[in-house]
Amino acid sequence: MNMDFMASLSSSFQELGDIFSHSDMEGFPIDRQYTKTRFPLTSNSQRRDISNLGIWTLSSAKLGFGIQQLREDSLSTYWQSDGSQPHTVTVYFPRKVYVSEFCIYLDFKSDESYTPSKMSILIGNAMTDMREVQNVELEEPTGWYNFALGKLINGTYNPVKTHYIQLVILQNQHNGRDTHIRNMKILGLREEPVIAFPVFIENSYSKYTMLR
Amino acid sequence: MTSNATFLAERLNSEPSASQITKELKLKLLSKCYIQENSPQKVVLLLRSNLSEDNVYMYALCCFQTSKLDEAERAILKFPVLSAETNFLLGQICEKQCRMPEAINFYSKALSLNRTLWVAYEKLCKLGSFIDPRQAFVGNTSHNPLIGSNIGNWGIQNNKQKPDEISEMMITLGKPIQLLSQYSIDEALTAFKNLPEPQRNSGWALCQIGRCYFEKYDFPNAVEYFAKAFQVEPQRIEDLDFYSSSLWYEKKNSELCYVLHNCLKNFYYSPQTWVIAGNFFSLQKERETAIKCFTRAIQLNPFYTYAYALCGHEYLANEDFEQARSHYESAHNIDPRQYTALWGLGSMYFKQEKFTQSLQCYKAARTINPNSSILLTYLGVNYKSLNNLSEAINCFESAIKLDKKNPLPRFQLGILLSQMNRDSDALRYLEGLCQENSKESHLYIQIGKIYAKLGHPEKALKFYNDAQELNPKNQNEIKNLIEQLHGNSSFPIIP
Repeated sequence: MNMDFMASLSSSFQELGDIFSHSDMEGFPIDRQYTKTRFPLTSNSQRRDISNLGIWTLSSAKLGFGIQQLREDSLSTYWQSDGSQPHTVTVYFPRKVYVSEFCIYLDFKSDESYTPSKMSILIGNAMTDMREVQNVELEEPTGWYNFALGKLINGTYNPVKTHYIQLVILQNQHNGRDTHIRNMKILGLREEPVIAFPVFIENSYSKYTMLR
Repeated sequence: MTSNATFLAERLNSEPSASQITKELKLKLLSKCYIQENSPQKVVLLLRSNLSEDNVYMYALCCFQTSKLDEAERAILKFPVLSAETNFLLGQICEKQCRMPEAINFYSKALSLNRTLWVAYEKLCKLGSFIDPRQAFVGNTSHNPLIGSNIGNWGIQNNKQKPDEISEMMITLGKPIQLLSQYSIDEALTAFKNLPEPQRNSGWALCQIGRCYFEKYDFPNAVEYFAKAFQVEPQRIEDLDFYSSSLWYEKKNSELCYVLHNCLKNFYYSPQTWVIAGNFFSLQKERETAIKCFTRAIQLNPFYTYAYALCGHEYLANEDFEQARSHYESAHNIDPRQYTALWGLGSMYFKQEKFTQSLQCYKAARTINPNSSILLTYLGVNYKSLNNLSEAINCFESAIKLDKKNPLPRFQLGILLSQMNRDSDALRYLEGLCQENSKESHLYIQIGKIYAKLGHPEKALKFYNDAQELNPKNQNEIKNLIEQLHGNSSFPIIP
């Protein structure tokens, strides 16, 4: 009894560690394949949400369970595929961006056999030149899963610039056919905007930044 | 009275031709009436089938005015002997078709045929073909190509090799205009100020002096001279676009509004009026309206390069790169010496991080105006982005030499030197700027950063606090910097 209690306590501590571990992930490169968190990762001084910069494409969708439901903030709505496996989500960035993390919210408790188990993430500059950066198998996942993207050097992921990101769902839990994903986000590096001069407030400075 | 003259000329044209009143003369009279009533298209239709050496100039001029450039050129070239004004017209046709070398050729021919053709001289300056003004207005009698019938009195006087009063005045006026086109602003300014008294106080000269101050970035003086010109010659609209830009730089809202009001009242259909309106809205940061005004100016005069460049600047500020590019390129095509358009194009590429393309643009702009310290500063920043640090330092140093009043090259040089770990040199430049009674918050931030890097948190904090005081809106950035300072040292932060 006592032992059981200790075990459950230590496991919950482990979970806690997992849940709050993203605060120490401020820095890049990222040294783990993926993290699990209770809440989505948010923009900070180093990373920002770049989901809205991309153009999203789904391999298939059931009517009323499409990109809108996938992308909106609510976790009660979801995307449901409507076709044969593998199911894919492709994001195209017209301007090459630094990508660092791919976040996806799964809920095995509600979706059961619709929940993905084997997934692969590819990045590349053209659809003909995609390379796999992540290949994972999850068991009964619930919560936010944040996959590190980028070039793997000495066990750490270094963010890279890319045009395309593709998530491929190879298999579902208990061999389910179609898939449910409740939310998805892509985070990228906060890039310093290129400016010739800062915005001066003094007119004796700012007038010299313009040639009319 | 014009309509009466037209009626009578039309009646005369219907009468049979007599010995004194030839068909030629009747057509000429009627054409003149049509030109008076401002309908060149009628002249084109009237003369198309009755071309002769006598009326070809009138016909070509009307073709030119109705944008039938090819037709005008073909008609002129049917006749072997060309007068000064036809040469000038051909030059204008070539210029509009972007055939600049041919245009220069025709303009210089026109000037050699008629030594009083100031406009041809001005066009030559604008196109970057700089001939000695004495040569232009007096000529070299030994090989003076005095052919053609419409030479006038000036040709005869040239043969006597005695430059008269008018040619002398043209020379004194021609020299500073040329210097201004070469952007040798200081020389041009002294030359304009040395003009004889009555001419110096004319609206034209006052505007040119204003223009020189404008190019020198001395806007208070520019405004003063333009305003004087406006007082002396209220009918003078030509240079008011630069007046409005000077007011824009000085952020003089009410003056700009006053000028705009006057122009809207008197010159509603003048393209300059709409450039002034555009500048007014640009100063209010109403970019969409400003773009509308500049577009109207372009509509009224499709060859108005300055309006294209200004419109490009507004599009660039709106980050509409496609439109910005097309406007800058139009400006550059119409007037290859419009260096502000090239600068704009460069800045657009710079914003898109296409540094090699932006470098090309800045370099091209610099060949046109080698004396602009602003342009050199931008070139230096571009070199810095390309990691060519030695070139960047060269650019900043020459920019400092060109204009001692421009603080930006010293500011940039300070940042660059600090990045190269030459911190004491960097501090020398930046603190030098500080001592010039500068109230620019970013300057203090940069100095603070250098002190923080050198391990003097107490000094850094002092500069950060000054920066915050100068620009209370920039709280976040400065707060972050102070926090970093706190993180890196055990120094207690006193708020």
